[in-house]
Amino acid sequence: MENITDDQLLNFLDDKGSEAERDGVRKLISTNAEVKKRVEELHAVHSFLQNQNKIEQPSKIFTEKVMSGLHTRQAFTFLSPRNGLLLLAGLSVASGLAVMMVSTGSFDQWHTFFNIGQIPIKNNLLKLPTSIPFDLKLTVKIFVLINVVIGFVLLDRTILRPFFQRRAERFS
Amino acid sequence: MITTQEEYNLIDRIIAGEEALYATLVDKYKNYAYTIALKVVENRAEAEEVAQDGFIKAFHYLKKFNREAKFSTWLYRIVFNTAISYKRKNKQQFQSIENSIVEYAERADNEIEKEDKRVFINQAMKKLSEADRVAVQLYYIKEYSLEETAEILNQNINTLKVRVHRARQRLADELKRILQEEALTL
Repeated sequence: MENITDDQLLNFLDDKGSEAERDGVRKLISTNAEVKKRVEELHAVHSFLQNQNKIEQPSKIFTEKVMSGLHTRQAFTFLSPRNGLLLLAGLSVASGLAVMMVSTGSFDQWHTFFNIGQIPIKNNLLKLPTSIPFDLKLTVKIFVLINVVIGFVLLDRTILRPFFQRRAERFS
Repeated sequence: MITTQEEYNLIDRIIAGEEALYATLVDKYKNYAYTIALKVVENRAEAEEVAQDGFIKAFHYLKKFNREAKFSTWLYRIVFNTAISYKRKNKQQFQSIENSIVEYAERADNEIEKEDKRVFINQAMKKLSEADRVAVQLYYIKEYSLEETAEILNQNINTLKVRVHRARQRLADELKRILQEEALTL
């Protein structure tokens, strides 16, 4: 097909271009067997797509479902159940390791005092302590506690709630 | 049929707290929104869920709708993006479903007449990239102008034109290839 491109043939099928151009294409189709064959192939696709693409209709309760879901489907939409599960597994591993290290006494020696009495700050209103104790073991315990809380929230919002919600929707 | 100004007034009232009025917008735009979702996820139940999520997201972002584009275009873009991210999240599942459809179609081929091009084009559609397939399908629905369709799909109008032409070319090439294979097996 030296004289005409697919783009020109597709424009012809789309009823685009001037009448003179369209006449030229028509003439070519009637005289050139190769062009005729290609137009037939493109036309088969064209008419298939024309027949296939109609506006679809959702279920009759579509609007009701949207309206009832306006305030219920918001939480943790950025996390899929799979990602929630992965994050939960990560939190469990981190918490498990931390608990193991605490129980074996790894952090027993990690306590110190931060001396803030030497910092030159003029403060007549509050009586600040001269030093603040720091205990890594206590910090790790707080970390584990926070992890457990986050873990429960994740389990609820990304796995259990969507699961039961979908199940309820399926049965309703 | 409500005008653009009436629609803006409606949106103002929804933002002000009259949430029940949102049902008017849902009713007006649900069909095309559902169609977009269906073209992307290719499953009726999931398309319904995706379209509903799109409407719910749009409701929560309604205050951010800056009225530079038409509400419908803005809404459909949200639905389209929701469908795309849904499909990406469930890619593995979709691939297995898609494979099973192709297998079924191949089996069906033997049962129907050889010259039935529809089955072959349907098969060829599965081989198009997601972006090309959705672009060509929305182009043929002709509900919106090419400019609006490009905006919904978040694409440049020239990119959309190229996609539509390329998709049809590929479908025709694939049809030709399948028909040649069929002719050889006869």
